[in-house]
Amino acid sequence: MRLKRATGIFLVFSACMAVTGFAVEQAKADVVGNVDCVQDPLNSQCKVVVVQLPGKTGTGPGDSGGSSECRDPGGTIVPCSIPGRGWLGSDGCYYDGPSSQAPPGSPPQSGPGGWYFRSCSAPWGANGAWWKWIPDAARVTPEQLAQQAVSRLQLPTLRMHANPTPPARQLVFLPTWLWADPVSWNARSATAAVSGLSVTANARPRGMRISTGDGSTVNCGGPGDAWTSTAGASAASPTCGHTYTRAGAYTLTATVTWEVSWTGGGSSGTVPSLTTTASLTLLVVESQALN
Amino acid sequence: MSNLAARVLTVVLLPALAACGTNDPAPKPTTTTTASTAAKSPVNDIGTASKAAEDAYRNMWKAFISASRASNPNDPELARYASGHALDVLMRGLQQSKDQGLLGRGEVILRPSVSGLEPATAPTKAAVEDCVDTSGTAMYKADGSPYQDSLGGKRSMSASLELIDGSWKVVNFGLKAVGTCA
Repeated sequence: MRLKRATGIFLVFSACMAVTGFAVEQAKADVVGNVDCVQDPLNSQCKVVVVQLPGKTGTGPGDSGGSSECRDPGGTIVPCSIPGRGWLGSDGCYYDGPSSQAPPGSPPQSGPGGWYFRSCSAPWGANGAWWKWIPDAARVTPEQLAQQAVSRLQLPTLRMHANPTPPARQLVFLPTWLWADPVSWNARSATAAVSGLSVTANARPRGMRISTGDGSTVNCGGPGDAWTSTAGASAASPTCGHTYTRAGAYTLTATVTWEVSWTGGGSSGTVPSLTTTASLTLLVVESQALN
Repeated sequence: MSNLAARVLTVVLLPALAACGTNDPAPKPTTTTTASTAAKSPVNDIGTASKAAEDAYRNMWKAFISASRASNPNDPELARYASGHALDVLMRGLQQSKDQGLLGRGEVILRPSVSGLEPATAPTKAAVEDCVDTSGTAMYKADGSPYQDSLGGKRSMSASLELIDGSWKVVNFGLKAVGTCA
């Protein structure tokens, strides 16, 4: 019941982090001191175990935890929680707690956290049941992981094309075609993960706005159409273009807006959109100046 | 199909768990033959694989403890139950102990549970979780010189195993700090 308050929180714990400061000549604790996670901190098995708590308020043990779907390490769909057993962890075991009392014989822990009783329920056998300490400090939410995923998004550099193609000059009253290079318009995704929980951020280009440099703004729904010779020299772009009416040098600025959403851990959401921009300098001349 | 089958298995075979304190202080590691016969049903398949994977995990520990007595990184038993990165870590650790003039003594107490097997039929990969008690072990200097040691204790452990050439072997493991389980 106490867990209800921590809705949507993922508990993450790692023992390896706490002991990385050991000096090289430090006495080993026991016979395994040379093969433990201190020696192998980048190993995925040395990273965190995640316990997935319910994503909806008022969801008690026995409910499915809203729309989230839980899977054990074998990929089998299993209950996200089991009454009396607690919540599914990324190791396929269930975690119940936090306990109001430290288990007998447990070492003192520094910092806030709680003891959770871990039990494994895989059909293929389970005889291990013990307590695990989960520090509060190591909690992450899917939202925080999503931020990490978003920060890893590598949006393509925006490359703009125009027709006539610079350095060729534009002519006044002759439609200029504008379009984004196709490679600038590909959806991108990035994932951030801790063991057992991963969140993927997806960015999709949604629209392009062009400040033409002569005081106009053009909203192009998409990347614009590339000019081809079949279109003819005097036709206007059906999707994205501008016609300059005065000679001059104009700096055109294109801004692509990316809609960013994320999904993972049984949750999903959106974050503020991202943009990519590019500039293009166009020289517009009167037709009689054409050589 | 396999998902459905596994789901049914989950429901049918979900064991009632014993409460805290089901410690098994005297694990009896036995060398067993692995699941080489065709299983008659997925249930047997899972059970056999689970047992074989757990045995391999226990035997890896047995081999490591035995090798640590002499800090012998080339103990042939290691490669029987560990492979890949897990074997590298074990050999590297033993070499390090050897270089430091350290030998190991004592026994670890294991409480492994197989927490995952895949695929659900004829599994070839397994995950094992354990709370390894190393408090009965210690390192000491081979030449008898004093060695400042600190206490072992209960360490959380995750291991992954694979069926390699008909034998289950630990291919990776993470052994966490003392006090990470109880």
